[in-house]
Amino acid sequence: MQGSETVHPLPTNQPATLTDCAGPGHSSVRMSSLRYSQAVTAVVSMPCAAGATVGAQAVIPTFDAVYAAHAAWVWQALRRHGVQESAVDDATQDVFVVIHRQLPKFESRSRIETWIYGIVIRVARDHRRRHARKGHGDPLDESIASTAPSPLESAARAEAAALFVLLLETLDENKRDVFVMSELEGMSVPEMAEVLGVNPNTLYSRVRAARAEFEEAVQAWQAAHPTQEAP
Amino acid sequence: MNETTLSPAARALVHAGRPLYAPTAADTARVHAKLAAKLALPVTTVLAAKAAAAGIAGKLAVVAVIVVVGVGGAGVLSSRAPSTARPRTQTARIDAPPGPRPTATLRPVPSVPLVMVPPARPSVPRAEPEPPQPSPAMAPAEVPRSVSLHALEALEEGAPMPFAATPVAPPPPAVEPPSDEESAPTTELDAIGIHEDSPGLVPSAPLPPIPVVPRTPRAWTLFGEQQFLQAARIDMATGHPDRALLLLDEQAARFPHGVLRVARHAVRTLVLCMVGRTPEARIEAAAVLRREPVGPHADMVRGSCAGPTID
Repeated sequence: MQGSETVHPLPTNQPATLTDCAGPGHSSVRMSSLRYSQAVTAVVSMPCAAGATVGAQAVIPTFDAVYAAHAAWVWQALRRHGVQESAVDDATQDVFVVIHRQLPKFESRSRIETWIYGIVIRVARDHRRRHARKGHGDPLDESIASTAPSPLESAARAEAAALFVLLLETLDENKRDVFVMSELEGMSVPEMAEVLGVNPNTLYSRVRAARAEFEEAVQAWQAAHPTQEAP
Repeated sequence: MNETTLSPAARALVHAGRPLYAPTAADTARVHAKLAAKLALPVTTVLAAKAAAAGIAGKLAVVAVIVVVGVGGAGVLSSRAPSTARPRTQTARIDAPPGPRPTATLRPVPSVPLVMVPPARPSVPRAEPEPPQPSPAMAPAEVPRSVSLHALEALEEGAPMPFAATPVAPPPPAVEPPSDEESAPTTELDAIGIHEDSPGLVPSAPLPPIPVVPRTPRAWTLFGEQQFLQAARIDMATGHPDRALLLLDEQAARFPHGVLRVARHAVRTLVLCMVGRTPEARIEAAAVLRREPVGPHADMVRGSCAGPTID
């Protein structure tokens, strides 16, 4: 599974004349990753892209730099938060349209990933609700459709992944969000509180409830589907 | 955060789900091209170059994104590899099949293959392992796998799936082997026990043969639950509420305690609204809100004919 957690390294073809923005006293744009936790821990010195604003307190990267660094995990986070495959192009665009509009006002008081994640959450909720009103199918339908025969191991992993998505669907919106953020994105409760603007104590309770509900779904599935393994 | 930790089985599932939904370089390049047109960004091919530098684009057959920004507006010319050329280096990345999506003229044909065999029925004999890439039209005989959460726990450590190599005993010789018709359903509706001649379920056109891809029956029963729901949704969306209700009834009978029962109540609410059975819709909607007072299902029923009276 490790090999599948693709980390998109920063491009290495930046012009050599660009100034390195990730020095002391400067905020830095971190390496893009498909996990939020990796994105915020794998700090990489990212050169300022052309046009970056270098102020006394903060560095505002260009839109292209932000897109290059964060598009992959934004896409994945949107899907994890329930945006349909057919809508993820539009949802990703929506996120970056907001970023494009608000980037000049970004004050670097929080990590850029945290700021972006807050946008992701809002856009995902909006898309989910629009989709629900249209009465479309579950997110699972389009993406977990591995029909081609494959080596047994990868097929088994795909089955497990598909089951995970099914059980995730049983959580309500709030619990799903915190479950995804804690279990898939590796975010701490304080980070979630910053993204969601919710009291941390509330989130501790919500995470506990989400985990308990997910466990309940797992146990229900186990009870309904005993293994076929030999005793 | 750690005071309530997930069980090993739940952790294994989370671990399995983590790699899902990773985009390809072509995905992000495509969205960037659309954004460039929408936001009138400067001419750039930098993303394609960056992807190439990252070694991602090298796995694509063709990825070319040309953004042309004109004086009076922006235009985008984009060509990319067909979906079959998407990189498949991520083993758990699951792509939708490239075939056409269901339309209103088709009977609901769930995209996920489904095999559900009554528990009492003997296992289908294991066939020889299939070749790596057999033609879908020549779907191989089933290679049963025993998928259990105990086995999935091995994923946590990246160990090989123990059940992958677990031999499955052939059916007891005393048991009469099922007839060909029983043992080899050719359509998914056959597989779920709904035949084309069932009342109200006659397709408008002959169904093409749909290969039944090997699945472990019990492990995929949950998928069966999902497939009934999806088929009911399609029937509802295509103006066949009676058929949708039949499918929902069948799903309720087969999975009375299924994990998707809230979704079933929600879909049934909408279908009952379609046919003007508002009092029954209210009952279904109340069942949804008891279980999930907020969330997409609650939003769905609140927006239905039952909405004004259930809160």
